[in-house]
Amino acid sequence: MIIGQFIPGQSWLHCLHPKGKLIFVFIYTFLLFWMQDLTAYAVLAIVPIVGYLASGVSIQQVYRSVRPVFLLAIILFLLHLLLTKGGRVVWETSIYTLYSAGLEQGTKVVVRLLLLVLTASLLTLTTSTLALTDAFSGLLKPLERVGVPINSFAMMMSIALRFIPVIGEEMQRIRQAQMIRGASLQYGTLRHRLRSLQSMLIPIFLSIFRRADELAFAMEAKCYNSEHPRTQWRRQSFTQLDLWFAILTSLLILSLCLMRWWH
Amino acid sequence: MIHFQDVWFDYSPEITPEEQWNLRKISLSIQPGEYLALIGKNGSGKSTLARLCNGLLLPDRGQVVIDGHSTANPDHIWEVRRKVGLIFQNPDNQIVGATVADDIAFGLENIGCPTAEIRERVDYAMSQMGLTAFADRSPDQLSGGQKQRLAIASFLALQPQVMIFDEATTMIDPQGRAEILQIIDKLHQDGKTILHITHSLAEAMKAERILLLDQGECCLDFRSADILQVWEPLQQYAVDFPPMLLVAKHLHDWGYPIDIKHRQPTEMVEELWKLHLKK
Amino acid sequence: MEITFKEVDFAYPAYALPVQPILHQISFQLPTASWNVLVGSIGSGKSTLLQLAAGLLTPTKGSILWDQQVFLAGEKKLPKRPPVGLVTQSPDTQLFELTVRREIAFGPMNQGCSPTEVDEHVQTAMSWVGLSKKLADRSPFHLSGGEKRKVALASLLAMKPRVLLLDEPTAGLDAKGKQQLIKQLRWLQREQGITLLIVTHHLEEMLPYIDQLFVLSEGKMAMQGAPDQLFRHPNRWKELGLPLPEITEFIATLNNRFQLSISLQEGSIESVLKELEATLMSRGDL
Repeated sequence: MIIGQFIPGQSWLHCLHPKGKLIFVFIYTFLLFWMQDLTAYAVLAIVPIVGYLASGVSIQQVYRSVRPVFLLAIILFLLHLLLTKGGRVVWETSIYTLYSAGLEQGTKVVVRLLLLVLTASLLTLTTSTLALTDAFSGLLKPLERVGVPINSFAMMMSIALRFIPVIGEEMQRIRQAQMIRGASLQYGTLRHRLRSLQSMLIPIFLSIFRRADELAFAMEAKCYNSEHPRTQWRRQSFTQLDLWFAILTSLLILSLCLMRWWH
Repeated sequence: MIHFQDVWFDYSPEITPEEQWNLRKISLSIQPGEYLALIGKNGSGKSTLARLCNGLLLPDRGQVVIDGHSTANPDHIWEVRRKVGLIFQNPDNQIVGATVADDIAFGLENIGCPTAEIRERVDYAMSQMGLTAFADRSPDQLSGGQKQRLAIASFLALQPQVMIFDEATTMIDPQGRAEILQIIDKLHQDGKTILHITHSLAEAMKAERILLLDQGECCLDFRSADILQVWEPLQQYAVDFPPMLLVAKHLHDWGYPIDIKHRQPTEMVEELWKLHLKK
Repeated sequence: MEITFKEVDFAYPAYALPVQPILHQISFQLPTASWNVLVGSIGSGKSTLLQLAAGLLTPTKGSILWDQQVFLAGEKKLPKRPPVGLVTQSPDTQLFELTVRREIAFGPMNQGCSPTEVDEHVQTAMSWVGLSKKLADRSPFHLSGGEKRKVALASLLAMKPRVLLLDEPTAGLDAKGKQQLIKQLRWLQREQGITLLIVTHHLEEMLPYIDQLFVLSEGKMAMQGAPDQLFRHPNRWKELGLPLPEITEFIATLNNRFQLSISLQEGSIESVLKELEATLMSRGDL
């Protein structure tokens, strides 16, 4: 998932109410784990496909968003091939037998994982982090009655997300500065690598603290006070678009329920 | 507008001897609509002074009064902050929003401004700073100068009476710097009170009045048009004179009737040529 | 050491967002012990070029030679890095040790020097940048900004680099600190034969020392040559959106108006004023 990599745009996906999108991702996740057969996954796969086509996000960005989970997907797939028994025998040698159930389960797990990551990325790619945290805190609002400081949490989240790219760039600079001085995380003795790690971590932490300090001053200067109520100017109202989205989502749920019942 | 009455401040006043405090016996008044520059070396206490102006820091002794309200009074602190905008050196560390418009709206959300008015004020601030085209961009995609304009816009939306620029031109490239200086000029013409903190005398010369801070004390307070009268002390404080100011000073010493002010190089030569033709 | 760029192209892999600057067809040579300056607006590719010259990135096309030798970039060939030091804009990106001495020793120790050698290198480096011995056991974090910079520079010099790449080395220093640093760099270049490549917005601080000036614009080399040659085309600079140093612009207009021939690479306003005084005197103004 690309965190903090919102790509601004005007597609209908961008215009949907963030709360609606967030709820949809929850429902979608539930459906992915509830449904067990590949036909259902084929239906569910329509969501990211249509979504990416509509969002205008490039294929490279899609690739980037799933790249981090490829390794995990491969490992899960191989584990199922090795460990799951059942069904008919597909291939047999003296030390290892490949069962059809292993193949099927492995495929399902991988498909499920990819669909989940793709759909969740779609949410973060088309919703600004601020809107997303607002939606989060809006949904969690009832918890405020029992004393959970939802607004402060939401602010913390959105700031953390905003600074990820800034800190990422800084880390790159620090890594290079220390590489020039002979630091390396991949080569040399363990002692050398640990010292290299230290040479990168300390400047990174110091830089984060320095930034946090300045940011706190800047926020206070802009009258931020966690105890005051804040207006939320992006508070979108639900539109006709959201209504259609809700209808389509219900249809999707209904058809999947029918499919499950059919089996 | 801003009054410092015998202000003393230190970050750890309990353990620091009095004569080494970060700021000592600062008394000054800034009139509404005045354009003031504050110069001094790194570590002279310039930024600390800026943070005292809107109650981010509170004086240990004496008091800071903004438009009749003491910053030490917690009942008025939010009003004081709304009146005083403070732009910092590093534009990256003062941007909160995920998009340009969101960042400008941040301060307005904090003061509980109604949504329709937020939209209006955000649009106004963006158009003033030439950022309208970037409204939905992420701040990471802006250049240094643009980021600093965004920082100014986010305060402008709060409609402050005073704008403080704390080394706001240090971390950006020459083009961005020239833009920011023009913006400061324009804000001054629009009636804002300006406090421009800088280590460059060339930039400070654009102000009407200049203060020099050295090791926590206010050492010089002069009108920029009268710089000649404080030339010697300025040299003692190792101030870096911009070349064109030095040229003007020399011409003056050679007996030419010329104002000592900062000029563009071509302007300088033209003026000299005219004086030469007269002789 | 001499560095040669031969028709170097560089592009970041396509999935790297946001879009990074790309370099096209960059060719130049930095002779041993020369003083080179690179200017260009933000996003023109200056820092990418520095990273290439440091051997931290590999060109997508063309080649980079250090003393006619090829080094492969990246961490994989760590022991065979070219002897190049890169001084980043803020010293805070590299300080991490408990004492100044250990900070400076980090580089030579990674190079596998013996303890006595390390000690020697640390002391030489400290004296080169003018850090007093008293500071050796202090924490680098408790130093002033100028001193931190000296520690950062010393920690690279202790590795005996033959080339120094510096990114805005004078930013944030006061007038005295700037002069000191320029003097030290001059000494390193003349006496130690170190090749310098400096990225800066403040040409005027080092004007008389510059052998070659490179102007980068949108990833292409827009101009390169001796500064007084390049300064003869002020319109070209305007097109590129780069301001000439104030003093250079002053000398150029002055030469024009008063039919003088003061060198465009003159860096000290005092010398210019002396010439001007002489001229005005000879014309009976004074």
